[in-house]
Amino acid sequence: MRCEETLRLLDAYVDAELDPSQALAVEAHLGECAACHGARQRLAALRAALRSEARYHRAPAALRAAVAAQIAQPAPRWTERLGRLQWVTRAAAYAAVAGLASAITLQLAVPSAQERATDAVVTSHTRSLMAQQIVDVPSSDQHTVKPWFNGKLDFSPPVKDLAAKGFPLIGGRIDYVDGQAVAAVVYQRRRHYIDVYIWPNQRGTVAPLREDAKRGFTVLGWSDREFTYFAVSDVDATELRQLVSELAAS
Amino acid sequence: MAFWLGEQRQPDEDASRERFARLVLPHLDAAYNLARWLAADEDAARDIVQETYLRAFRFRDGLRGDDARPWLLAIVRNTFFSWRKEAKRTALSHEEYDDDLHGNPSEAAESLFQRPVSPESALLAQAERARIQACLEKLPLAFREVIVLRDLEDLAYKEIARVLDIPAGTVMSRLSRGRKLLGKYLLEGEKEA
Repeated sequence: MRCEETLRLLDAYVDAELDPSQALAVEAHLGECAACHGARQRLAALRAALRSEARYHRAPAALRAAVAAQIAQPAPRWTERLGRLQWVTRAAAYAAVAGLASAITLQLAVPSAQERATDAVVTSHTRSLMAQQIVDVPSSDQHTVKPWFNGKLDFSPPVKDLAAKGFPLIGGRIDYVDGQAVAAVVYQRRRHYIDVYIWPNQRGTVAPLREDAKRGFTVLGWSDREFTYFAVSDVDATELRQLVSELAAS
Repeated sequence: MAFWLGEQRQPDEDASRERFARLVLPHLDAAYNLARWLAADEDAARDIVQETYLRAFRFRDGLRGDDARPWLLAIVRNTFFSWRKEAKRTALSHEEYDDDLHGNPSEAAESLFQRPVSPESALLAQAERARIQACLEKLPLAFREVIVLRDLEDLAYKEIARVLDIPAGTVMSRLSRGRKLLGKYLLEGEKEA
């Protein structure tokens, strides 16, 4: 391969977008041509500087709320729907609605503990993003983050090093969920933050994974015998599930 | 009772709304980041993103598969262009989306990237945040968007091709020219300083 061709393919090579045979050819040329090798180094330096220094503009919280509201479910138009029903069924329908309505009111009035927790962790997560207070202890080392929690909480949350799986550890923070001090272990996926909230599982019963979507965030909650976990992020749900399966595997 | 519930809840509508929230809402940051870099203005970026989600929701049936990001970003881009057309009509914006207006950066930059010695790579690595920001901001739009999609959003060439509606080969050459020009801007600043 000649210099001209190598330089044409250099960006794709650095981006790992070439097919294997082309990549090998470029590599061979880089090994024997100092000029192209230099160009490659400059390109890699530029690319690294861009990736670490160029600003990723995160959506402001107000915009997030506005967009979520935009697509939120509109209130059902009971009267309109009722109008379409035949008059004979209407009376029965009203009776059913009356019974149903009281049942719904009761259910709405008392959200389950799971729903309360989901709500609380999403609120806490957005608050930390808004306050730009992502972590109290910034560290990618689990052996720094885990001991940091000791002495601040009366339990020691599990902290994992998942950098190899594409979820580097960013650090930890103490947060409050439902009035209780909990551990928030923060991982990153590309430019997205993932909060994993952890607190002691009082009941000690294992709870299976449950997925919720709230205000644009995905929430995954589960419990093992020791702890209750909630992972919250705006990252893709598939990727969040991947992190959770890594965390749950021990 | 069961019949009644089934009638009221409109399961298809609910499922489609839920799918949209699950697949598309998580890419809000990506949408905003692209809009912000394209429009170079916070208020405009907010308007563009809101309009994007309205359009995306209206055309949600057009979303195939589970990866909504390229699809959504293509809508951001289209929305941006309509916004800019409107802004231009009211003479608020002057930037041209035309490579030719900015000359061909590859010639000027080519020589730079072929020099054998490389103190430049050290300089590039140290280029501080503010200057990278400024240089990327003044990069012509066609180059800026491809760099934002690749280096900030981390999209594959194939996905970028989808967003920009151009062949993957063009993504490669445009990215290459854009990075060369950016490198040139950065080094020029360094020498002046």
